[in-house]
Amino acid sequence: MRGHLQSRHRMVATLAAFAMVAAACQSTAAPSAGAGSGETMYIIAPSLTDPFWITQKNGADQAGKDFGVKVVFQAPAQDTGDAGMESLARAAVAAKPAGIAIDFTSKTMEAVTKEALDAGIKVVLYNNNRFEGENAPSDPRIPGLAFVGQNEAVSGEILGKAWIPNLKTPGCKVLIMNPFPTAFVLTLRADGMKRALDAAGFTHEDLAGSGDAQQNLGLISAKLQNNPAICGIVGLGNPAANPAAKYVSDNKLSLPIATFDVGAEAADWIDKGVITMAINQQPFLQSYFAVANLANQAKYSLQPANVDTGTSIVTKDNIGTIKACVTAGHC
Amino acid sequence: MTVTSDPLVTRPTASPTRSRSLVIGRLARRQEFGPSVGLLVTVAVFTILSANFWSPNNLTAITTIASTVGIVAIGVTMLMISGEFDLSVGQLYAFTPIVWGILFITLRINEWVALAGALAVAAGVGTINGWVTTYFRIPSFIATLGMLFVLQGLNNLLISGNQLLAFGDHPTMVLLGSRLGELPFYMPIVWLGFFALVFWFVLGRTRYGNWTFATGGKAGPAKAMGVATSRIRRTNFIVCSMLAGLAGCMQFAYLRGVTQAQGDKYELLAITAAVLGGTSLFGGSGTIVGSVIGALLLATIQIGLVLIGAPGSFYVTFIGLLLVVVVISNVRLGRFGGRE
Repeated sequence: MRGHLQSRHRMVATLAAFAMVAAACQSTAAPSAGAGSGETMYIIAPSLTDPFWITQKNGADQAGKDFGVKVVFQAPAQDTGDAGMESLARAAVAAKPAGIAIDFTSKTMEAVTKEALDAGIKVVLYNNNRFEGENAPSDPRIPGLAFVGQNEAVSGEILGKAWIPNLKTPGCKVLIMNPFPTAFVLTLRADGMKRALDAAGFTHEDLAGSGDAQQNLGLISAKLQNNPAICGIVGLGNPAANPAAKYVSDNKLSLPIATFDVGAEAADWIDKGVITMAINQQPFLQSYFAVANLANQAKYSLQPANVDTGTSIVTKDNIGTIKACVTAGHC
Repeated sequence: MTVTSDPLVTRPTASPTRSRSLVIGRLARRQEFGPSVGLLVTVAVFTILSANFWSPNNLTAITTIASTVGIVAIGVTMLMISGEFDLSVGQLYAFTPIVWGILFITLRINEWVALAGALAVAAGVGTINGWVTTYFRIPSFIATLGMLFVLQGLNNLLISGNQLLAFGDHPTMVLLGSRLGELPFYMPIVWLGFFALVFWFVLGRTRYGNWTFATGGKAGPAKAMGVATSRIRRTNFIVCSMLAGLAGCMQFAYLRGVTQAQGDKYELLAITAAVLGGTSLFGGSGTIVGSVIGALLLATIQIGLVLIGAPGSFYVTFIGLLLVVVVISNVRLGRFGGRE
């Protein structure tokens, strides 16, 4: 009797849970926010917890409205890089959409990109198109795919060359902080920055951080106290640069700071002159033009175009025009 | 009615309806019944909502996720049944293939030797986890949390945000991660079936399995009866770590690339799969088949939501709610059954 009641109780709980799942699935089978009617486009991203990718999503959703297509922006629950994106991209291919935008972070994305192309699905690459060295795709169609984004292999060097004149002491040491050591695109940024510093005769030191600003603040504090000879700080992303700016500001230091991407807080620090400059790859435009390419291809059979979303340098001089854009989630 | 050999006694024969009820009742009492029904319902829902649910790409996506999560979950289940947790499996999922990759790609050691070496390192991590927990008698939650941070730091030291790629001709990678001919399935699903069978047998048909249940169920009486509970737990820590490491190597073999980001939060996924499959958080109860079904359920929900165009964040919300409902159910059943 007791065993029978136990099993009924367990099954009722399980079925109740699944009724909830089924009801929720029904309600979410409609297109996602920001979508129009017509063809469906999938955008596959590595993360939905980073403001950079939220801005990307905003761009994709806006493009969906402007071009009258359904946009489904998908990312794994945790940022597990290629591994997380690959399975979501496969599911997207299975959904047979009109188009998919893929973040081609390495050759591991080749198989699913090829699957999409073989299935007749339009594909554009965005944010990354890493084809160098052992990442070179075997499928000849892939290098010819349109790409929307910034070349991270050179962004560090471009920023470095623009920023280095702000370093006051020739040959001094620059601190390079990586808030996401697992993200190898940040490694690319760092490599480019180091090339620029090496060419100009400066030394550099790495500091691994996390996505948590409070922790990074503690790490920066310890590092600068341990090494007062550090003459500049590069944050490979805002989660590193923002706490650096806070520390420099609170302690009234005269340390130039450079960063990649411009979020709301970084825009404030640039406006105050604490962050010297940032390179803005315009994430909103990346997803926007990725969807635009796919929509134009689906609706009008237009060939997608490469779009360089820019290596625009943002400083105190031009931050005014950027801030409103950032606040609106468009930059 | 049937007349038996004793002319004074007649016994009714079981009618077909009553036989079917007995079979269904027996099935319903099995721990795997609930999650199996849940999986069937989920599959049915997504089949109705999407015409492409059974497409080859979708089957590939579901089974590749379920395979690696499932293999980790098998090890986690063995450990949970014996009353312990391992929070370091997620980092080990990245650490082991990173070690493997460095050994055979960077240092050019024979790939089979490198694989054995990497798995030996995983076993070493499990040994440390088990020894620290049992010798110092600290909660395994804490011991393995510490190991999580250690491995996270080591992963960063070893790979520093870079990626290891191995697209060449590597027999080990074919064995661990290649496609099964023209089918939409890859080797990890075969390995999942293999380990599920092995550990189903060990848990349900061997003395070691009995000892595992006894260690997690009532450790004191088990020890009094001569069960080497510490040794059982230490062994299960090693099993758990090796399976997590091997699953990570399979993902490396499937994708042909590894970064330190892979396996992030896998410890939570594996525990969730085990709990959804009926494994008790309090030890002493659980099934391997249930954990495999739990892994399939997680993968089906995650990929199914993508297929129907639901926002990605819905997945974690669903799983969180589902987990709480299932655990409440298990806890109430435990109290109903007289367990503290």
